[in-house]
Parts: sequence; structure tokens; C-alpha cells
Amino acid sequence: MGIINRLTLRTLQGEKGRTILTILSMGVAATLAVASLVGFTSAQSSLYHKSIQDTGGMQVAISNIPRKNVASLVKNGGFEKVVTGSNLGTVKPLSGITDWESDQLPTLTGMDPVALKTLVTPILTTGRLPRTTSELLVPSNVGIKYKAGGVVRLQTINGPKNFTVVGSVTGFHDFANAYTWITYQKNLANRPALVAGSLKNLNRVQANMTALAKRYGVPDPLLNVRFADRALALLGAGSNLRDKATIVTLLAIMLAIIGIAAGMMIYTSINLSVRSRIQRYGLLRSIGATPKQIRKLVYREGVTLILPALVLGYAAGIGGISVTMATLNQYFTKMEIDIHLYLAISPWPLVGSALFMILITFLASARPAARAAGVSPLAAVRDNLTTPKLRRRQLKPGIWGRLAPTPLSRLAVKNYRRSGGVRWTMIATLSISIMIFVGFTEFARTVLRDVSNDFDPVADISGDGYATQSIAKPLAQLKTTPGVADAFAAKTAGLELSKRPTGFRMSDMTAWIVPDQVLKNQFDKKTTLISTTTRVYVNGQRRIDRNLPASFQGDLQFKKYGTIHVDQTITPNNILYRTVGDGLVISESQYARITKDVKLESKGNPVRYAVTLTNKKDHAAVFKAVQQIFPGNGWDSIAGDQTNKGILTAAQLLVYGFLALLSLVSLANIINHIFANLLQRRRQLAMLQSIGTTPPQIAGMLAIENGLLLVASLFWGSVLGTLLTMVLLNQLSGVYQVGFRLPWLEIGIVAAVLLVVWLIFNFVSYRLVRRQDIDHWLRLN
Amino acid sequence: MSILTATDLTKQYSAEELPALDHANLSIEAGEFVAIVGPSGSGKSTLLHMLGGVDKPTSGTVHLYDTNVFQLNETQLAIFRRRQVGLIYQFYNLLPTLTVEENITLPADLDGQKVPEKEITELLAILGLSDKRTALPTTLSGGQQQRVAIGRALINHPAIVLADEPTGNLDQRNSQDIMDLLRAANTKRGQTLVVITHDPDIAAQADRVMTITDGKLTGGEPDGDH
Repeated sequence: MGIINRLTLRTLQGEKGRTILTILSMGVAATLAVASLVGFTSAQSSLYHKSIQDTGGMQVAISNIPRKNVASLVKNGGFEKVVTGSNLGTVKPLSGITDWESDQLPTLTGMDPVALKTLVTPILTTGRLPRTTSELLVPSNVGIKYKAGGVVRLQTINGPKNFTVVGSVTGFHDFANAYTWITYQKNLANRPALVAGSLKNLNRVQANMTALAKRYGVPDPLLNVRFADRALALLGAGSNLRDKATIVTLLAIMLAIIGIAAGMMIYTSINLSVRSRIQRYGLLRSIGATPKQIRKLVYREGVTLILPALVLGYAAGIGGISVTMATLNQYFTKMEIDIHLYLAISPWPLVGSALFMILITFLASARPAARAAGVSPLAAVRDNLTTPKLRRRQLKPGIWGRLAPTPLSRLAVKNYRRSGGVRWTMIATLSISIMIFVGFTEFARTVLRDVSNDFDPVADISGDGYATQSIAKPLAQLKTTPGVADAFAAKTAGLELSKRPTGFRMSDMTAWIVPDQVLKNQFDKKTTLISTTTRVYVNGQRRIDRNLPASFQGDLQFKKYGTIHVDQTITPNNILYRTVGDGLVISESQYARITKDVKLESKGNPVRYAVTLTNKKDHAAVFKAVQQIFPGNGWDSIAGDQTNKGILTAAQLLVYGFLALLSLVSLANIINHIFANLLQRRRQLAMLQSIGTTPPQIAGMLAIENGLLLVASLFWGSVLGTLLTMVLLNQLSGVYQVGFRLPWLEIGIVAAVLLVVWLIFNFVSYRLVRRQDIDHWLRLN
Repeated sequence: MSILTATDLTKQYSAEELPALDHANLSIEAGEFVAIVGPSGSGKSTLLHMLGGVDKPTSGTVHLYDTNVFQLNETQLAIFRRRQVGLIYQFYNLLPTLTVEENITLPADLDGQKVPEKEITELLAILGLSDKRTALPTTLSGGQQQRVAIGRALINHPAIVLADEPTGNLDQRNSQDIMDLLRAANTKRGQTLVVITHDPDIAAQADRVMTITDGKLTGGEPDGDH
């Protein structure tokens, strides 16, 4: 072992207490780094798992692969898992479907049971999977007109054929146009195929998969490669480069925060250690150690300390994240929230955090190392290098010095004023620690508070349906469904104002067509304009806004439908009306009158409904029952709220956990600072005792010195932290529309923590001074 | 033959004060034992530190053989001190975390040299520390610690050993032991030796005595008034 290593190890062994304390402090910083990186990748992985559920875990779907190339594509395409289906050609609805919306004819896809289970189960909104070649799943916009068991006659490649509709699938997923009309097909037909898979390598996935599709014979006009973009974006492999940039920026910001906090702490530890050994470095220099060797010694010490700290960091970081995630998963299961957090321990966060901490240690050690290397050899014989160069101004008593009533308090003020660069180094490091805590905690709290309040309330269950007859019967069914407290349903029709009166922000409006009885009972027989309010943010301030006037009475001129007289305008408090939203409520007979001479595009109308529950716990059963009445797209806001609440809880826990660790690092830094300073001054304190100063007097003197230091740091840290919050909120004002408030809570917390640290310091310093062997310290060379 | 020459060596800490060292000239022959005496604050230690390249003069030069010491850069100066100068302090200045043997071999270790086992054993025997080889400095007496410091100064066979009050912290018996050791190094190994002392008995053992008063050196040349 070389002399540098030996010296490093012996020094650290010789100062066990200090070494252990430093390792523990660095361990907290390493925990922060490991927990943040593992937490980040775990959150990424968990959100990815949640998002990829919609496509059954498949990341890419390639349509129109020539049948003869399917086997080799599956074999050579770099897939981890793969399922296939057959393109059974475009189908032409022959019966029952009167309002076909798309310009293109839909594709019928045949799938085997594995593909059906993988790709279709997650998107099944009503019914079940097809089990025979004459059973069919339709998209939900078509499904709203069919209940299970309905028969559709389609023109297929083999001629007209009757299918029994067994359910519907949602169109809201990333592979939406790859398969929407789905039937059963045991084996791949001799037709172009669909290949969906998850990949081993996500590098340049978009370009590679498109090239792969072309290589395997998909002609350009038929090229249809779909990606699970939302999920891939979470892994930084989405087609949108901004997603990748967002992830990288987020990671960079996080690492920068950790880097500053950990760097400050490591700098403090190493710097204090260098200061306490300045004479030793001088001695080494006097007997011929080169500046490079001294620098090496300091760097080696930093790295030697960070290695066990990293082991601590791995144990505490991974352990902490595991326990947190397990607790959250239990909470999600108990609350029936459909989220599961996955602990992702991949090599890169582990290796990355180690490299990051070593890098930070090197950077943080650079200045102390330079200071140690620059020590004059004379430091070995003359202890005059630790005496700061004082300016004339510092020799004056100053305001506090004049106000100080006792000799010891005056000495304390003198010590404080004359500690020169050391004092400012301490104030700067403490202020930055406080700034990080105040700035980021207030920022995170503001954003999380805003996100949790950011949703306008909606009814427990709401959704869309379709009706060709009166809405009265399904509405009655809805109201009498067990578990339903109240319900509102209306057919809708699009209206266009030919002339826009004041207060009408847009020309387009919706007509809410309600049964005559409903208009009579709920709207007093009056044609009613529903004008809802929304919250908007202007220059960071919340404001109430609306698209329709708050009060209007009179005639409205509509294109095609002529004039409709509005009897009243209401701003509803009723959650059901608020959910369906802005529009003109008219009766079915009134709608029949105004459309009498109008040629309508279809026989039926879309329906919008909203339901409140007697007991919110029954939401899943009621939602299922409502879907039977109005097959189509429904929204269970209780489940949605629970999911949002779960995500928010997880986010809050992770963010506050991060901040708690960050605060711990800052606290360790503060404690390290003031206690190391105390230990360095034991000889000076012994001298004061030897000339007749009592331990309480010395403790009082130290209390004043540290009190001044902590107050100055609290002041500057709070000012800088407040500015940091302002800058962060301002930077993200486009994403989080939140207002700035002074971070009193955080400043209060810091003040309280500093007060506790100060009190503990006073107690410890008093005990230390009272018990110390004066003779030992005075003789100590 | 002169191995160390100082010419017009001056050290002025501030313009208002008198110089700590005022145009000192000296020349030391190889194998010579020189004592520098003078009252406290007269500039003895300042002179010694400049001779060893530990401190820099305001003006003047120091030559060891043909090397102008203060024309060396930081690293060269460190290597110069490591190889050519052995420094002994009043308060020993040992590293408390290294053993006796490790403290002695430290300059050689820093130089990447491996000291032969035989040489270490012999040196420890000369120093009377054979049984303390693995002891830590804190377990040794003052005299023993100073012997370790002497061993450290001698290990690299430097051109010159500079000792700043090497017996200033020791009782009479220990002082004599230390001086015997230094004298033996001088006579048996031909080691050039410069010792700063207050003690007239120690000064009397030197080949030549230089006196320094208020920064002015007398007896700096071999043919001077000693």
C-alpha cells in the first residue's frame, strides 16, 4: 500500500468518531442519490406498466404484413413477445348502422384466443371476447346502438355475412386504427397480417419499426405502424422528442439539486477536515511532499469516505423505496385503486448514483484539496495560517459589539466578526442548504396543492349514449337503477347561431333535448340556457370564466332551425347539469317542432347522461348497470378520482420523501459545521478556562457566536429560497398555473430546526467544556 | 568545499518594521557542524527556514551546490527538500497516525523509494528505537519522539540537516543524548549539520558558531570570527 493510501487510512482510523459521522452524513447524501434515481426509474416503470396495459403490453403494431413474411418477421423482428391477427379485409356495414362516420371502410381483424386476450381484453368496454367466427366486437361509437346479442350484417371478402355483436371496444388507445372491428380466427388466414409485439431494444424504435415493416413487404400506401406512444414516451422512446427532453430535463434538475446538496455537505466535511489538519499538511510539505501528493491525499480521503457511504446509501435508498412502494401498493389495493408500483432496480441507477456521488466528491474536494496543497511548509512550525487576514473594519466593535453587555459576549462578537473568510464560507454553505429546502419545498407544495385542487367536480358517473326514440324511458330506467340517487339524461343536437348576441363567446351550441315532463318538472316548463362557470388562470391568478352569458332572456337565431325563445338562464349548482355542461335545454316536442322541416342526417341523437350515487362505494356495480342502459363511452369519476388520488398520494409521498432526505442532508451539513468548529477550538477554549473563564461563560460565548451565524444564514437562506421559488414557479407557469406566496411555513420550519440545533449545541458545548482536561489541551502540540 | 551558500539574504515582513533578516551572508562546508545562536526574535528560525527552502526571502539567494533554491518551482522545491534537506523541529512534528518506522521512512516513501530493511534496522539501532519500531508517537517520550524526527531527517541522506532548537523541549539528559546522535551523524556519516540553539553548551560542540542579532548575522563565513 502506498504512503498516500496508508496516510489516508491511518488518519481516518485515528479519528474514528469524526470518520463515522462523516460517513453517515455522506450516507444520507448517497441515500438521496440512490433513492432518487431508483425512485425515478421505478416511477417511470410503474407509469409505463399502467400505460402499456391498454395495448396488452405490446409496444408496436404493424398492419398489412404479407402472410408469407409473417413467420420470418416474428422470428427476426427483435421481439420479446408477439401476437398476430389477420386482416380479413374492409367490411361494409349492410344493416343496422346508419351513421357511419368514417370516410374509410373499417377493417375486420380476426384474432386467435391469445391475441384476443392480450390485445382486446384491456379495451373491452362492454360484453365479452368473440368465441366463434360469427361473433363480433364493434367499436364503442357503433356499440352504443347495439346491445349484446344484436345482429349486424356485413359485406366481407367472402360475401355478405351475419355477425352477432358480443361487445364493444374503446377507440381510446394507441393502436386504435389497427383493430376496431374484431372477430375470432383460430389460425392466420391467407391474408395480410397484423403483428403486435414488445421489443428487446427500444433504440430509434420508430424509424427501425417503419423500416422493418417496409423490409417485410408492406407497401407504402398500406404502411400502418402504430406505437404505444404514451407508454414509450415514459421510457424516453416516444415519437415526440419533447417527451424525451422533458424526462432528461427532469432528471437533470433532480441531479442538480442532489448534486448541490450533497456537494455542499461533502465540501463542508472535507473542508473542515483539511482545516483541522492544516499543520499536518504543512509538515508533509516541509519534508518534501509535493502539492500534487497533498491534493491526492485529500481526494483519496474523500473517495475513501464515499465508498462506505455508498453502501449505506444503497441499503437505505433501495430499502426505503421498497418499503414506501410496498406500503403504497397495500394502500392502492385497500382503496381499490388500479395502480401498482414496480420497484425497478436496473444497473444504470445503481452504477449511475455511485459515479455521480464519486464525481460530486471529487468536485467538492477540489477546493479543500487546492487549499491543502497550497499550505506553506511553515505551517508545520508556525500556527499562523489559520489566523485570517483582518481588515481594519473587522477590528472595530460594530453595532453588536457595542451592544454586548459582558466581556464574554463582546469577545463572542469579536470572534464572529474576525473569523473572516471562514465565517462567510459557513454562512454561504448554510444559506445554500436553507435555500434548497425553502425553495424546493415551497415549490413542490404549491404544485402538489394545485394539482390536487385542479379538477372541476363532475357527477359520479357520466357518459355518452345514443337514442333513436324518446329519452324518457332510458332516463326512467337510469333513475330507478339500484344505487342511483339522481340522474339526468338528454339527447343532444348541434346548433349554430346565425347571429351571436353579447356574451355568447362561440357560435356553436348544444341543444339538450329532454322529455317534456323533465322540462316541466325541473325547468318550470321554460326553455333554459345553462351557463356554467369554469376556472381559468390569467397571469397566475385564478378567475371565474364562462362561455355563455350569466343572464339572457330573448330570442336566439339559429341556422337551419330558426328562432328559439330563451325563457331563462341558469348558472347551475346542480352537479348533474354542471356535468353535461353549457347548452340550451329544450323539450323533445319542441325539438320535433323545430326539426319538422329540416332534413336530419340520422334518425337518432347522441345522448349525454350524468348520475349521482346514494353510496359511492357502489360505483363499479352502478357503472356496469348504466352501461347496459347506455352502451358506449362512460366515465366512472369515483374510480377516476381514486386513481388520481392514488397517483397524487404516490407523487406526494415520493416528492416529500425526496425533500425529507434533502432536508436531512442540509441538517447534517449544519450540524457538521457547527460541531466540527467547536471541536477545532478546544485548545482555545481550554486557554480561556485556564485564565479563569467558567464553562457557562464559554458556552454562552459560543452560543452567541453560533446564534449570529445561524440568524445570518437563516436570513440569507430564506431570501434566496424565496427567490428560488419565484423563479421556479415563473419558469413553470405555462404548465402549473399557480400563484406565488411567501414560504412562511418553510421559513418557520427552518427557524424551528435551527433553534433546536442551537439549543442542542449549547447543551453539548457546555458539557464538553465542563468535562475537558484543560492541561491536556494546553499541552497538546 | 562549500555546499551551502547564502548571499545577501533579507526578509522583511512589512515596510514599517525592521527586517527579520538583514543581508545575511554565509557559507557552509561539507561535513561541517554549524551552530547558530542569538536571542529570541533575532531571526534564527527565519534564516534556517530559508536555508531549507521552507520560507522565501524578500531578497538574496541560497545555493545548495549549484542549485539556486528559490528559482525552483513548487514541485521542484518539494523534491529538493525531500532529497537534499533534513529538517528537525523543536516540537518533533511527527504524524500521530504513523508508527515510528513509518514516520522515519516517510520522506523516502513520498519519493517512491524503498528503504532497505538493513538500513532501517541499523538506523533504529543507532537511534535507540529498535524496540519501538511499531509504536505510535503518542506512546513515546519527548526524547524518543525527537530521535524519530532525527531518523526522518537522515533517512534520505540529505546534503544538509537543519535543526531548529532540537533540544529546546527536552531535559538535560535527553538533550545530550540528542546532541550525541547529531554529532555522531556529523562525525561518522559526514553529515553537514546546522543547529539553532539557545544553549551555550550545545553551541560549544559545533565546529563553528554564527551569531545573529536583530537580523544581522556574524560568523557566516568559514574564515570568520569563530
